[in-house]
Amino acid sequence: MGQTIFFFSLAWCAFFLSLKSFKRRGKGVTPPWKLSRAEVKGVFYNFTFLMSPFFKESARLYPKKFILGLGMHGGVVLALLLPLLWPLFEEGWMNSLAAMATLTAAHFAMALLFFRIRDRELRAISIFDDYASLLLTMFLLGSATLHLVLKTAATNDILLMSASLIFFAMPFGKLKHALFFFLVRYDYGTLLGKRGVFKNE
Amino acid sequence: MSERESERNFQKMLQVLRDHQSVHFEACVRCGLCGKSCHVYLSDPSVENLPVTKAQKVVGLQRKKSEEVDEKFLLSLQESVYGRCTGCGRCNLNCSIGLNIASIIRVGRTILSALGRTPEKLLRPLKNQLEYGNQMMVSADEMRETATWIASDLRLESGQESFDIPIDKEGARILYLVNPREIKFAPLSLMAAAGVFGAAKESWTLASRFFDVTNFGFIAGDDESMKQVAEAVFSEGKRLGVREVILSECGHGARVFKWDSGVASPLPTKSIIELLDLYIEQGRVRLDKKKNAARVTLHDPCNLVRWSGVSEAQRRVLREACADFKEMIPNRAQNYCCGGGGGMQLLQECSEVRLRSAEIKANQIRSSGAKVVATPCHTCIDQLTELNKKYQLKVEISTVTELVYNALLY
Ligand code: SF4
Ligand code: SF4
Repeated sequence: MGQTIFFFSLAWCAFFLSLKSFKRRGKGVTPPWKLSRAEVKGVFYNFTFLMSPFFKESARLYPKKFILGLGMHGGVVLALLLPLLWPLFEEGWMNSLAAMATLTAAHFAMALLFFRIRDRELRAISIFDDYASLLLTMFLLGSATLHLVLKTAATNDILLMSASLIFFAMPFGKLKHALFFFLVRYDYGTLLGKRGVFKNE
Repeated sequence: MSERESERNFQKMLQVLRDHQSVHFEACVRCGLCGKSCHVYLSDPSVENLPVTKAQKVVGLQRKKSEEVDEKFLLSLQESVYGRCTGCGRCNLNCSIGLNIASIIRVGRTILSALGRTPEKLLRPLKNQLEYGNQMMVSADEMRETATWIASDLRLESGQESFDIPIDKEGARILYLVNPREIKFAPLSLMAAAGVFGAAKESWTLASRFFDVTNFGFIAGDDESMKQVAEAVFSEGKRLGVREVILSECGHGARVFKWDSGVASPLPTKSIIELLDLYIEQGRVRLDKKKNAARVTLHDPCNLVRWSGVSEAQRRVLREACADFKEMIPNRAQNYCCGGGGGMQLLQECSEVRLRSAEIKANQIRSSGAKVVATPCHTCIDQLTELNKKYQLKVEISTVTELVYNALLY
């Protein structure tokens, strides 16, 4: 049953996310096969160098949040993949490593929630969606850790439920950045590439 | 505002939002990491100055009801997109997602333009451009007269009898667009360009009517007028039969004519900076850098560098034309805005924000130890001149072409 809901949530998410990105496509994002060489270079640059702390100033100016964010997202990807790749993580060092990663990521998510509540500015720009998404994320990471440690049918069901919840919610709130992050970076990368905006200080 | 009027406004606003819809509207995660990249926020760290707040004001309109878009809201939108943002785009590069934040904020200007709420100080030059062909209502006669005396001064100063400022010369290789303030208040810039063209034996011309490199349609977020202004200039180029359009030193002019006018450019278009670089590379002009002995630093105009990708040509040129060139830190795409962009230079009500937010620029200049600040943009020149006074920088402000002209060997 848990598995069925999980796969249904995946299909739901794919359907509504595609619909959303189609609705929001505006003048459109250039399809990869139509990119010029310069645009390909720009997309590559925007997904690599421009995301590194050497080029992206905000990573250096907000090091704590940058690292917490990075760590949390790593844990989330792992937790969402767990139901699909379970045999890989069931035993041995992969299991221990994954458990450590999801546990750390859960703590990172908590720290980010703490910052969101504590920082006056961050609190001011936050909406319900921000808190709800963080709570869902914490639930996912917590249940992934639990399942990696206990490996019971019940923990498996809890993990599937939390992952399904994420997928059900994804198209309708900030979690949709799971897709839009790629669309946006790709799109802005084409602009940088076409215009040749590469060098930093 | 009557109910009917406000409903009409609301529908117009929704139309603009639909027309400018993009994936960038959907991806902000409200992490706040764009804050410290914005010079306006750095000078006054308040929630209102966070790039995300300014962008969300525009994106959030999608979820508003018509009665919420009232006078108070429109005033706050106006303040946000004109009084708190120069459209410099520095936040874009530092957004954790990679959003084109500045373009989202500019949609706010387009909305205000559709509602007839563009500040009068920006609307006037735009009307002039549409009506007279240039933002300062310079007439063809005034243009010819000014060009004649500048050319005669140029010949006197350089001792080169062949140097001239041709106007409406059909069949010239390049059409040179200038900022009308070069005709009205800054003739040295035009003289310098004419001197360099003369030295390079360039075939060039000015146009007496559509010669304006600026585009207030762009600044006002009025895309239709922006197109119209650009089209008029390109048609002038076609009429004169030129092979290339060269833009005088203007940040937003370069951005509009090279990339954002909405018109497919019928002629190759370059900034004069790129042409100077080419002249030097091809040996068409010879320079003596000892003639510019004082330390020179470079301010990168956001529209030319971060938005148009012209970042290395000016450096190569300055290294050839000046004995002691020193970069400010940070520079190129990560350089800070001078504070005067996006029309802020013209808005009296923004002067406090404009000068305060530029303190970071003043500090950059000071730490470079330079005696001369070069910048390829007349708006930046105006702003830097004010900063020079306000922050007592004791520097000289110059265009890049003026420094090249000064270093010319005949
Ligand atoms: S850095 Fe980008 S994603 Fe984060 S708040 Fe600013 S605009 Fe939004
Ligand atoms: S475009 Fe420039 S001025 Fe506007 S919010 Fe971004 S960094 Fe600030």
